[in-house]
Amino acid sequence: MKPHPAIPIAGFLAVLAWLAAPATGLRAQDVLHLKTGQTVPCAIEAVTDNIVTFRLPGMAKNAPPRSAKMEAVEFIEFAPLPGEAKVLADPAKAPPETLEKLWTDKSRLLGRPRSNAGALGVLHARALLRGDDPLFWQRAIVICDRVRERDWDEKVRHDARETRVQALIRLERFDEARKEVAALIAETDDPGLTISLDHALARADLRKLIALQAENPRWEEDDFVRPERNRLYHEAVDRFLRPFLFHGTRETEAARGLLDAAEAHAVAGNEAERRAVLADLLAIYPNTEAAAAARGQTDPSQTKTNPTDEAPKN
Amino acid sequence: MKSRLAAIVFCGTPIVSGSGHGLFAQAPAPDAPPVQTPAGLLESARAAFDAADFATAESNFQRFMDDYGQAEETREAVRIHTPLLAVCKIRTEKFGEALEWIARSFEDPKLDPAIADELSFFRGHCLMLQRDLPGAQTAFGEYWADTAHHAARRYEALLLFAHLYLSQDLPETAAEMLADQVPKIRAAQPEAASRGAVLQLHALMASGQLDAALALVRDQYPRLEEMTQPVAFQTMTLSLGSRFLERQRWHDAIVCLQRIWPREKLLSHQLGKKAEIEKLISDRGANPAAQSQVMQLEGILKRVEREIANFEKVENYDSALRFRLATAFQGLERWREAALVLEDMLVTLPPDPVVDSASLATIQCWIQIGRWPRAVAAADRYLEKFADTGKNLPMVLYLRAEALREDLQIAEAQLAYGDLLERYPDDPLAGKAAFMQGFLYLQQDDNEGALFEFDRVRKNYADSGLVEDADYWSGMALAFSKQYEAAREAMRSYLEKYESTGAAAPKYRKEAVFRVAVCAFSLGEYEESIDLFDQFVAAHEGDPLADEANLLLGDALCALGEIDRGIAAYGAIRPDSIRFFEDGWFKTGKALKLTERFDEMRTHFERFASLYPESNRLPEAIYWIGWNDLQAGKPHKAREIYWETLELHGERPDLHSMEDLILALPMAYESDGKAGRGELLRRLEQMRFQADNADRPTLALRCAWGRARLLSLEDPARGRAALLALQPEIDPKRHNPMIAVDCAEALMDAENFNLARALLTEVRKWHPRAIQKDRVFAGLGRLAEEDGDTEKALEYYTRFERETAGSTRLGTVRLAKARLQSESGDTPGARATLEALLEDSAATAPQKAEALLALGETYAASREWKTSLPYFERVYVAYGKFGELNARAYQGRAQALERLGLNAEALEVYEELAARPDLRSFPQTGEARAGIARLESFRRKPAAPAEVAPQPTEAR
Repeated sequence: MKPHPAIPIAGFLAVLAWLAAPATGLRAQDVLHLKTGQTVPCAIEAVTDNIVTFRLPGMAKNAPPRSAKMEAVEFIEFAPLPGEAKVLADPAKAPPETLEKLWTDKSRLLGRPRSNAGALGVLHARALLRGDDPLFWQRAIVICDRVRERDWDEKVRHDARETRVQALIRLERFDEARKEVAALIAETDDPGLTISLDHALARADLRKLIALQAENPRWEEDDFVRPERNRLYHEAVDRFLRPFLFHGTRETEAARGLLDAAEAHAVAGNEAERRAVLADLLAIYPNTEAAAAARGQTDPSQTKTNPTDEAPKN
Repeated sequence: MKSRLAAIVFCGTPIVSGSGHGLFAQAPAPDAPPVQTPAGLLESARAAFDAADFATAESNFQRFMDDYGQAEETREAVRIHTPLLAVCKIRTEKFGEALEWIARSFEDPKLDPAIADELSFFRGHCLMLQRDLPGAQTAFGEYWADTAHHAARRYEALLLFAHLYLSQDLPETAAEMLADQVPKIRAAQPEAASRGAVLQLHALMASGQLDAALALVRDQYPRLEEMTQPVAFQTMTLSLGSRFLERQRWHDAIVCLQRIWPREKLLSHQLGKKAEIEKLISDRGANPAAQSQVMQLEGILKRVEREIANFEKVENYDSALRFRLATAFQGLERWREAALVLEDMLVTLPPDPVVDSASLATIQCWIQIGRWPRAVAAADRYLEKFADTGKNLPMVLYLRAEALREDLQIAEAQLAYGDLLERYPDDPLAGKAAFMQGFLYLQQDDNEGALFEFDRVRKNYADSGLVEDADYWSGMALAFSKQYEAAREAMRSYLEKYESTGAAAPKYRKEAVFRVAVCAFSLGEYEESIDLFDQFVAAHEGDPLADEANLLLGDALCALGEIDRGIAAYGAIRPDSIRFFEDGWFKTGKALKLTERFDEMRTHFERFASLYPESNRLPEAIYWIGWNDLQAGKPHKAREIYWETLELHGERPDLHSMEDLILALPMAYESDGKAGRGELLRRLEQMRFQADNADRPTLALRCAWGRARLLSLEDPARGRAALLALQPEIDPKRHNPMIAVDCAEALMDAENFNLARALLTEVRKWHPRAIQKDRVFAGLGRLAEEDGDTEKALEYYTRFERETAGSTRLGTVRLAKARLQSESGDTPGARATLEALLEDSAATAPQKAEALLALGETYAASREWKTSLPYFERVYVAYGKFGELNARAYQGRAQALERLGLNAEALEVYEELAARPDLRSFPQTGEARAGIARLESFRRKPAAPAEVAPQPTEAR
């Protein structure tokens, strides 16, 4: 059925004014917010940059939908889709298929002012990154690219860029990740992305170290393998330690870095260093998950900590 | 707004409290009446009060009170204005008088509650400023206790109450009180709570409760953004961190120092807070009803401004903070962590004295953990940052050189020491640098260079404490360059010079004495050397140098024919000095042989074989036993010792000498010719069989391998088959890599590439220093080529070049590598490889010929015809006997000449090729004939003889 042709603005506004409902406590429909300040509850059928097509409450099913020019509309308040509220309440627990459906259904609204399509897209991308399939991570990049290009909300666009970096890190596309992190850092003080990138690079080095030592079990005797082995080991540890040394109050990341450094020392067979970083972890970040994981891995009395630990504190 | 007071005075109406601001309710100033009348005084005082001109107001109110306050008519006015005068006294800082007027205000039973509230608060304030601290504290305590009092002032009173504990030197009590109260007020008054936290930290530190202070720092850090006085809190946190450092409570120090913002952020934040306070003051300043708030804010503002001013004076704040953090890590001996923190300073902070010192510490930390490249990089960064202004520059240059030396970058280290000497010839480190340069020359066998540098130390750095070292090592340099007379003289002079000082014994006394003896020996002065060695050994029993001395002593004695004494000297060498010990053993054997004490000789070497089967010289010992038996006409006995040794030690996979022994077996059977070889094969098979049955797999493998090797000499196919059969028995990790590599090469020849690759990969993995490394890389490279994995093949060939450059297979590998490089489009790489082959004196003639041809072909392929010419020519000129290569070279040159349009020359080359009978069978010869036919027209015609004019003949 063809939509009713757009009526002139003045007439349209008169109609809408007649239809405009007073604010009610419950809302289950989309709402057009006009530039006049009036609101029109309706069910949006389609929206473009120029025109919005909608059905009014109580309209007969076979009645043609109404339409209006977007120039009269301040913004559209879109009703949540089924399940959307629950997802938004706790995105980390939302099933991936739910997020996918929400994104699929809402992505057509990407870029519409006040639409949360972009935010849902970012949540969906993050859920994809929690999986183990590199194809999912690739898909996350595609979604983030759309959101960062088109969403109306600067914060959501920023979130999309950050999530994209996380996807690049997972895919070990480190050079690209580095460039994007550098660009993001220029815009924000938050070192979170740099820490993520450094951590991923360090884990990659650690994996290479493990593989190299497995391939070269007598690497100490090999004058040509030894330098590469030492480089991987030291660079991994240096990177793991960076959150602790330079962002020490970001306790979760710093503690994780110390635990990972201990793992690297263990891989390298450096027991003294391993005990030392575990001692630091337990002393400085005792209440973190990393410390809980580390407990029992070391006997701190064998490691230099505070020489006066046994002495009266004050 | 008309003054209500004025209205009251004129109309007699009692005052009514306005909108809850009591004394400070704003009223419009009427037109001022004449000053001297009571009304006039009150009017003007009131006007001044409303305009916040408290000095004028105070003066006028006081005059009113003084002049008219006793009159009955003014009693009401006095009652009403007494509180105002009290306020004026406070604002004009006449606190003692203010107390009096406050007291008088409270005598008024009708005193407005709001006014009473304020005066109660200010009473405490005045008492405090009058230094009646207990009184003030009581006043504030009472104010706080009454919950009906003004909320904001109550919190202020609470803080002042706590502050007064500190003023009375009761920090523990203040801390206890604040610990109790601050959490309770946080929700209602976060700003007051933040100032309370600052006070609390101060109180805890003042009372030495450092643990509680640390807990507070941890707790408050997340709220730093909200604090009104973050600078105060942070500077105290820094101070707390420093105290932990002093007490070597490193972890606690780190916790503190991690929670301190950088200078810029802290200052920016505090200035922002200051601006907020100033705005509040400005907004409320004109409102007399808000004066108590204004006073409070002004008090806070003063403190904030003072803190900012003090903070701005702190120099090098950021660098000092980082330095402290690094110090904590150094205290924990976390050298890496300290280095990383310090290094970051060097990169991110501007140069200042703290960064300068920190940079030096960075290098030292890297050196401490042996990360030489990082130490060098840190030194380079220092040089870049500080250029010539760094106060630690000489030390940095020296440490840079040391790090290069430890990293075995000898040439760079030498340059680095030289750089220090050139730039700072008078620095205390210059002497060390000069000495180290000399030492590095010694390491590079440049004895002349070493002598020069040691001489420089003596001449220019006499006070460096290294002259003695220079003297000794100069003697050693002379010895290394075989100038034994001069070396001996130098060592004697050294001993004389330093023994005569009467101080401690010369540092190198033992070594110098030894060297004198060695020089005598080297000069053939055996008797003198014997005496000296005897003395040395007696004086240094158990010293490693004594072992070498005994060896040389034995040599000297034997040289003089004193064989038994010589043997005794050899026998005194300790087994721990493996090299000298074995040398001594074999020299003993040789001495016994020369003196024809064959039985003793046999027993001597039998003992060696029995006691030291792991020695690399075992086959040599066995050889001598066998020689002995042959000498005695007992060839079977000679062979038996091999078998006995194999039987005894053949199951030990770590004794690679067993493979050497097996390879030496054929010599023992040589005398019996073909029958002997047959017997050997049979014995090997027999031993293999017995070993198999006795579950001695390593011995069985060795025997099978030995047999395969022997078979290969006569029948390569059978030998290869025998080697192939070894594969399931080989454990590459345990067994001699020689066996695995032999088997792998046989597998490759049989095109069983997967198994070959598996074996070679394992050999490389478990024996990275195997002598057979060249065969491993060559094999893996070839296998990668078979797989079509050019990149991998090139990787292996490159490793071959780099790690086994002395191998005889280098030429073959280089040719293969160059071919792959060419095929993958890396023409420059291919050419470089081929040129390297040509420069290698160990490369064989056919390899060089092939390299020359390949080079010519690469140039021809890139149409560099002229460049290709000499390469082709060199092949058939210098390596004429390699048929196919010559044929291709001729053709290549001829074609290049054609391309250059030098057809006559090309024709000559084709003709030369066609004329070579040894090359007739090659297709290039056929093509040469076609070329001859094609270029016939360009044949050079022989030059016509010069025309001579006919001479007239004589007529007959």
